Amino acid sequence: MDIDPLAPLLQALNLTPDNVILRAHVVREFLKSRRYKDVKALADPLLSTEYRPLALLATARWELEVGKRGDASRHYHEAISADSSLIDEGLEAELETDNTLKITSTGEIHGRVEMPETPSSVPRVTFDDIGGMETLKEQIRLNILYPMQKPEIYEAYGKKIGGGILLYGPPGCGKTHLARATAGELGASFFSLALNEILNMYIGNSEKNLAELFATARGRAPSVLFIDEVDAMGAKRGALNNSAMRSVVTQFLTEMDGIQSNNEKLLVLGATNEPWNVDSALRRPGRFDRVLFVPPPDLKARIEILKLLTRNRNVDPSIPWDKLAAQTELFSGADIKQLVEQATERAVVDALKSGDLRPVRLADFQLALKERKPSTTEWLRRSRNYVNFANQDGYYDDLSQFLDKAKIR
Amino acid sequence: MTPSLQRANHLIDSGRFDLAITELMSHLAEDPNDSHALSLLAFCHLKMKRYHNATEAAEAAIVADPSQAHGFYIMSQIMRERNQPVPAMEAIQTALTLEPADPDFLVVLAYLHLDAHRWEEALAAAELAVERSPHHSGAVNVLATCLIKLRRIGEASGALENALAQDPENSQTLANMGWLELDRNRYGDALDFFQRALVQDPESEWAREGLLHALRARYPLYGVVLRYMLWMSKHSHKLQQQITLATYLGARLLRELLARYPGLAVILGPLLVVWRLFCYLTWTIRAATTLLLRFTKHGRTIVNNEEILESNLVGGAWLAALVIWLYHVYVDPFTYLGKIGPAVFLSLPMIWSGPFDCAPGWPRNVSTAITVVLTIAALVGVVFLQIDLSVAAKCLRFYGVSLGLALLIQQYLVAVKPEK
Repeated sequence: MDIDPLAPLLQALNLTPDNVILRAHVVREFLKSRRYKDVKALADPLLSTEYRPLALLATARWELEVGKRGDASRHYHEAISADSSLIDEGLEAELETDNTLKITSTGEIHGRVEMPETPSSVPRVTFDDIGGMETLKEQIRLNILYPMQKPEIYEAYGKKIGGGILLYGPPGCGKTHLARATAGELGASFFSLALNEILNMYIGNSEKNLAELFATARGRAPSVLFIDEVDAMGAKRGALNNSAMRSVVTQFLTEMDGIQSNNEKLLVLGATNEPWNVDSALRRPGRFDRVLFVPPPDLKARIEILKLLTRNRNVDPSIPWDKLAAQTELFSGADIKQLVEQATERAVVDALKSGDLRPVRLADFQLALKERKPSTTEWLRRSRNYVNFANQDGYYDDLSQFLDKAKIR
Repeated sequence: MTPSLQRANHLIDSGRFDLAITELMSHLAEDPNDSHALSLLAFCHLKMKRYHNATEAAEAAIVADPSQAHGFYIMSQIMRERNQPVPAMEAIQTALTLEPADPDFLVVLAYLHLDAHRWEEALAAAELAVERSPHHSGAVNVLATCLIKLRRIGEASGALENALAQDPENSQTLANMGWLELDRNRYGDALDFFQRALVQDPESEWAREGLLHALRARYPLYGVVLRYMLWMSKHSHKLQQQITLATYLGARLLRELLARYPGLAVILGPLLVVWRLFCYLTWTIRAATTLLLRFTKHGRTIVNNEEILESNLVGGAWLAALVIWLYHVYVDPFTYLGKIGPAVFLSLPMIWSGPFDCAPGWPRNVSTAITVVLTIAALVGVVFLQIDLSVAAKCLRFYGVSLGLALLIQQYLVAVKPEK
């Protein structure tokens, strides 16, 4: 017999319907379990509380589920404007894909709509929403933002504006978030191409679709075209058995080169967890000729993430976030999120047993820490091989420095 | 073919097995009895080293369509990875019954024979694979491996050179060329091939291991031990054990002869010293050369954490032996510690190499337990040399008597590959 794992929570909520902390927790659990149809009724009472952003997110999810895409977009943006820790990349992908381009499973583009004067796809996230990571942000400013914001200086020195930059690093460290913040800083239109869409291209009328995507992005310049999991697009062509795949890659290379079109003010940002799988043809000048390593968040970033993720939770205010963050060396953003969830879970279980709504304490985090290891370690250890043996062109120099500093072999 | 299956195929081509599994699950939700998709799922799990899931998927593929050879082929690979040679052999033979001409299947068959040190049978399978598909890099590589084992070095070299002419960037072929050059004592060439192999596939443990041998072989003593190890690796497990036993008994015989006929000391004495030194080196030279490599820029980057730990332990023991010996010579020549301590610390690295040589799992655990017990006995014995000689004598006697047996057990454990 299947038992609803959320039933005890619902039962507790029925007993104490005015308990907003518990209600917020239940809403989060419903969102996590993708039970969007039921979430709105639960979230509505939170609209007039400090948990309004969470309620708006839940409402957006429900609205998308029932086909009210416009309302969903509006409520989602309102939610993340108030609380950027609520950014839901999956939801954004669903909203944006349908607002701009949708590549179907047969590889055709559907649902192309005229973009409004100020495109709704200009992200509202900026660097201010990303704590720490100052070195990386500075690198992005130098490599991406200034060339597009002050083109005359770069042109005076004969430097090309636009082009491609590849962000690589362990999973869950915010490459997508960073790309979005970059577009937000630029005030540029943001087009994203997710893995599924890349894969669908191989199935259908692919080269034409890709050309159209680039043309649209150029038409909306300045714009950022973000390609997630770019290794799936430009996987080493030797490894591609299928001629359709090879032709898509070739078309992609042509678009990147901008032979037939002008790529000025079109910035192509690629992200990958597997930079070693990216075709070397994609790394040539004019394509992804600049690479940026996105490391696990530094101490300052981890403190910010912890504060952000616990902002609207019943948490002991005396928790020393700096000390706690110091114990999460090499944790990815996703790991920290899991840590917070796990710590909260303990407080909720206690609350269910005792009826006392005690805050999440340092001890809960310490216990959760004992059970969690950074998920980035395996990636970093694996990457050591590439630094040692495949870094002849200095491609992984920044990764190498990081590994040496973190003493990872 | 559903879009999910098409996407899965592409993801497998791109090496994204984690994502391919999601697509395959989605396809299988629509068509749960698709034997091809199930065997692809098994393959993806295998690549992710999720052996239990891989086995389940391969079994499901076989049940869904027992006339498809691919399911049996994947099953044989899974069983080989899980160190279960008998079911692996059964599966590949079934696959070959269904599709006798498939070179991929023959390559797996050849490797299974190689694993069991059946060189001739492996060679027959490899030759058949190459005959069916002359440019199949896997087939040519396994053929070359068989030829090296059978000491047909010229033919192995020819096969690998042909394979490299076809595909100059094939990491496996380059690494095998490296091993071939090691066999010919051409360490510089071997180094070059291993480095080229690692540029193509930085995650190749086969090439990294070879590179370490080539770097260590620059130290002459290691070259001698390496030649012995490569020579031993060409024999069956049984013969290897017989050789070890024969040399052990030979040394005992020499000692007996020396005791009975002291006049032979001029000849037998140095012989015994050389033999003992050689045995000691086989246990310690790897760690010692790792220690030396760590002082070089290149060497430092390629040694892994286990190798560093082993070299630290050996270096620490040798340093302790040296310090105690210096104390004995220059400070107090009358202590038992000074007389016995260096010998104990010099002998400890012999048992410390065992756990590092054993496969993870119970063989390594048993080896580690033996090592820990003997190390404690030795260290307590050494410490008590200054406190209570009777306790020291008991501990060190236990250590001394058990050492030989422990080394023999560890040698047996090294050959054991536990099921995964």
